[in-house]
Formats: sequence, C-alpha cells, structure tokens
Amino acid sequence: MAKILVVDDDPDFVNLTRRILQQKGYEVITASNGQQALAVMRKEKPDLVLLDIMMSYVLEGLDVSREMAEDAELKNIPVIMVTVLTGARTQVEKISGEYVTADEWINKPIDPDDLLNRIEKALSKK
Amino acid sequence: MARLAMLIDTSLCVACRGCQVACKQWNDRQGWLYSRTRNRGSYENPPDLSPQTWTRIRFIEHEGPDGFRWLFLKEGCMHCGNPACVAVCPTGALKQHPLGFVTFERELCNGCGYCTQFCPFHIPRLEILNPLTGAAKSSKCTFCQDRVTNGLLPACVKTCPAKALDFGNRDEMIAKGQARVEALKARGYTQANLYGVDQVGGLGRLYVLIAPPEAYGLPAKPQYPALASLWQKVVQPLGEAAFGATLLGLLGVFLFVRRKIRMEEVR
Amino acid sequence: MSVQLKGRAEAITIQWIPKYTTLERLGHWLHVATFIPLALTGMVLYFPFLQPLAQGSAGMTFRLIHRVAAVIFGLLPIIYFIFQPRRFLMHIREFLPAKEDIGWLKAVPAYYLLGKHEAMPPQGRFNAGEKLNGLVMIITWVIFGLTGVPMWFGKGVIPPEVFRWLVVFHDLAMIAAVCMFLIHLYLAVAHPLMWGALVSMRFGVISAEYAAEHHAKWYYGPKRAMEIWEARKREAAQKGGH
Repeated sequence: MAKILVVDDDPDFVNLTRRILQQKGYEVITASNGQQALAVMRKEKPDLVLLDIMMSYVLEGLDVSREMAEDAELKNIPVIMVTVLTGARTQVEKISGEYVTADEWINKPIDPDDLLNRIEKALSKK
Repeated sequence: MARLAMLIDTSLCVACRGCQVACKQWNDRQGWLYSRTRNRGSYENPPDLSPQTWTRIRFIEHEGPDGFRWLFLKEGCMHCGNPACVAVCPTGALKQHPLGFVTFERELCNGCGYCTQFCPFHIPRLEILNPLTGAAKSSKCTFCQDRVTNGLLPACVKTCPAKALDFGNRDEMIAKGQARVEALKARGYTQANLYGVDQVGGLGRLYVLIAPPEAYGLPAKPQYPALASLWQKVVQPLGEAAFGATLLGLLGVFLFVRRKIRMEEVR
Repeated sequence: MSVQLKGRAEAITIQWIPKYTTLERLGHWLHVATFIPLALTGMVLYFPFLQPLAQGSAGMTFRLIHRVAAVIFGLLPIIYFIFQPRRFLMHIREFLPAKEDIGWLKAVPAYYLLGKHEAMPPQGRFNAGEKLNGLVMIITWVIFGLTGVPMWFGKGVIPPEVFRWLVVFHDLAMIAAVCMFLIHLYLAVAHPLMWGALVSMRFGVISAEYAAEHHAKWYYGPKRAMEIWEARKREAAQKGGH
C-alpha cells in the first residue's frame, strides 16, 4: 500500500492521523517542520504528503509546497494541504502568482472518512 | 517638652517580677494561654514576650571575671529615639510621641506585622485574632502613656520594691545612670556600663549593666535597620517616581501619536 | 468573514489566524482580574496618602483580599502548565530574546511615535516589547511568590533580617510589574497601531493582514519576511518617506 508522509508540528494530530491511516493499511512516515519534511521526502519518496500549513510560521506549508514544485524529484508528489486558517485558500489565491496551490485542501478538525476519500482521490489521479 | 526615659538598674534588680505582674494588672493583660507554667530549667516565666506579656525578667547565668552570677534584665520595647517600627508602619498606628516614647493605637493597626520584623531588638509581638483571615494586632510596652501623661509613674516603676526602676527626664536619667556606673566601677564591677544613651537615636530605656551588653543578650551595636531606610527612603519614592513617569510618558505618547497616526486601515 | 466597517461602503473580508487558545485567553483575563486587586490592595500599604484605607478593619479586609487574589494569581500559570504543557513551554521559548529584538528597540521611536511602517524589521510571533512584557510578568510572578509566601507564613519562622529583604524585593517587583502593566494596557487599548492585539486576546484570532504587517517573520517565515521588508524599504526610500 501507499506510503504517506504526515507533516505537522502538533504531535497529537500526527498520532491521530497515523492511527487512522495505518488502520486503512497505509504506511506512515512523519515530520514536524518544513525542513525536516523536505529531507524526509527526498530520502523516502512518499506517494502522498499530508501537509499542515501553519507550523513554525504561518505560511510554512506553502513554502514547502513551492519548494516541492521547483524540485524535479518532488514535484509529482500529490499534496493535501491541511489548515485551521479560515480563508487560507483565498489568502493564497491573492498571492497566487508565487505559490502553488495544493491538489487538495482540508480543514481541521478533520473527518476521518473525508480524509481517506480525498487521499484515495489524490492517489488515483497520479 | 523634654524627652522622658526609664532607667533600669540591673545591679539592684532582685528578679521578684513584680513589674511583670504590675504591667499585666494595669494594662489588663492575661496569663498567656500558650505558656502554661512548665519547668524549662529556668526561673523565667513566661518563656517569651507575647501579646499578653509586655515586659519580662530574663535570668542569665553569667560567668564573668568576678565569678558566676545571675544577671537580670527587664526586657520590653526600647522606645528608640529613631524608631524603625514607626517608619515601616503603614497605618500610623505606631507613632513617636513628643515626650519621646513610641505609642501604639490598637484600633489603627491592621496586623501586617512589619513592626515585628524591623525592630532591631525584636520586641513587638503579633496577636493573631483569626488565623484564617490573617486578622491580627501588634502588641508592646507603651511606657504606660496613660499614666505618664497624667503625672503618674509607669506601673512597673511604681511597684519595684528594690527601687531598681526610675522614670523621668531623660537627661536626668542619663546623669543618674552614669553616676551609678561610676559607683559600681569603684566597687570593683569593672565592666559596668550604661546602655542606651546613643544607640538608635538614643533609647527611651536606659540600662545600668554590670557586664557587657552581649552577656545580657542585648545587641552591642544595635542599628536602625539599613533595609528600613532602603525600603522607606529609596524604594518607595523610586516607585512613586516610576509610576508618575510612566503615566506621564504614556499620556505624552498618546497625545503626540493621536495626531500622527490614523487607525490602520484594514485592507 | 465579512464585516462592514464604519465609513466604508462595501463590506471587507478579514481572514483570521488562530493565535491564543481558550485556556490562554481565560488565563490572561483571570491574571488581569487578580493582578489589579493585588496591586491596589498592596498599594494601600505602600502609599502614605492611602494610610486611612490601610488602618483597622478596612486594612485587614484589604490584606485578606490580597491573599485570596494571590492564591489564584499563583495558581494560574500552574494550571496552564498542567493542561497545556506544550504551549506553556512554547510560550516561554517565544519570550526569549533574539536578534531581531535589537532592531525593534532601535525602530521604536520611528514606528510607534511617527508611524513609519518601513522602519520596523520583521517581527516574530512576539515582538521585543511583547517579549519584555512577558518576561517581566513571569519574573515578577516568581519574585512575588518567593517573597510573598514567606511574608505570609514565615513571620516568626524565618529570621527578621531575611524578612526585611523579602519586603524590599516584593516592592521592587511590584514597581516593575505595575509600570509594565500600565504600558501594556496603553498599547493594548489606546495606541492606534495595535488594534489587532486586543482582538486576538479576546477572541483568540488575529487578522492575517495584521499578522503579515506586525508579525511578518511569524507569518511569512524568516527568509521571505526579510525579502519583503527590503523591498519595502527601497520603495519608501524612492518615494522619500511614508
């Protein structure tokens, strides 16, 4: 089954999501900030990245997805952006010239079934 | 009005403790309920000053150049010329009377206890009225100011059978004490000294001692606590200045800024 | 979220970023609710002109209020630590001084007095002033506890010579904390540039625009925030002013 990288600085979110995904049979690796996430991605080549937007700074997730888009090895990995920020998508669209939007956006608190459906959708599109 | 003082000639004291009893009787003090008489290996009773015990005779076993003897010391508020307790009292319950002694108005006291901590002689005692709420009152010898201001002697002085206590004009008491010290020295009590002439602004309680003050448990060089000065004369005015400066500064900033900056526009 | 502001024809949209949890906000306001009575009842013993209030049973009542408030004041950070230890530690870390604080200090007159936005280098989640406030409050909390508890229970137990020092330090901490409180109160409530701060402490969220402006390092990240600031300084220099 597919390997999913969960990136979030909140250990409770990571643990909860890991349990949800592992129950479905996914292999789960984790990172807790942007730099760590990129390093793990380059090493492990996950099939999908679940990326929190707001970690050590508010737009860190977007910087990560931008770097992924500029990296030949990483640009094809689908990204699901996770956010608590209201209107995060609109914020991004306003400065959209520079940032790459993610394949999917999902809001916290997440609904496990919703999450699993979106993951399936993103993986099947590859 | 000249300053009054008490002269305590410890060489004449026989430790009958009539003064303790007279003080309690005049000032309506009780036997202190926590000091049920117990043999502690000493004749001292009660074991310490307390809200109910404003004066007390200390029995000190002393080994001096002329052999072993008992020293007796009548302890109580020293009525300092420069009283630290008055300086730190936040309610004005402790005041310095024009006649020189330190008065105490019980109704004004709020039980903070600062006086008990800043007295160089550790005299005032706090009477806890309610341990839960912290309600308390301070307590100490008043020099029988109600008697003294009406032409009477303090109760202890009046009752002393050995005539070890005297009370009157301070300069006269000093002269009398110094004469007694000279007489004692002439009789061979080479360590005789008069305690209280100059310490802490001059004490209202003068002691003729036949051994050095330390032998009696008295501080040889009692000081107005430096921290009391630091606290009252430096820290407090500093605080007032700091608050004033901050408030004025903020007002100034506000008035200046009002004209220069509009509320940020939310785009 | 759309709001209609006074004097504007069309509604504007504010995007919110979460900043403070409910426990943090509750803790802050309870802190205020205990700090003020503590300061006022303490001042009754401090200012000579308040002496009549310090006397007799009025004085005893104030002392009692001081103690009750002190217990709650003392417990609040402990409760915060027990229930949200990660955020507690994160907060402590965020209060620690960093390089950009020097830049903040230098830019204060230009920014706070003259409103020159481009003078202020990008700040993290807390700017140097907010850090100063946080650190002063934390340090004085510790001093108040270490001095106040022995002052309450230690009479007759600890040596008077030690007690005298406790009173002095309790007072010094009070002066620092109250001055800090006054400045904090002014900036939160009265200063025109700081409107977002009070909203964030009441509702837990901060406007994205406000964060991007006042806490650019926290919003964009250190690298990008610096780039934006350099560009803005160049722009302002070209235009010759704000």
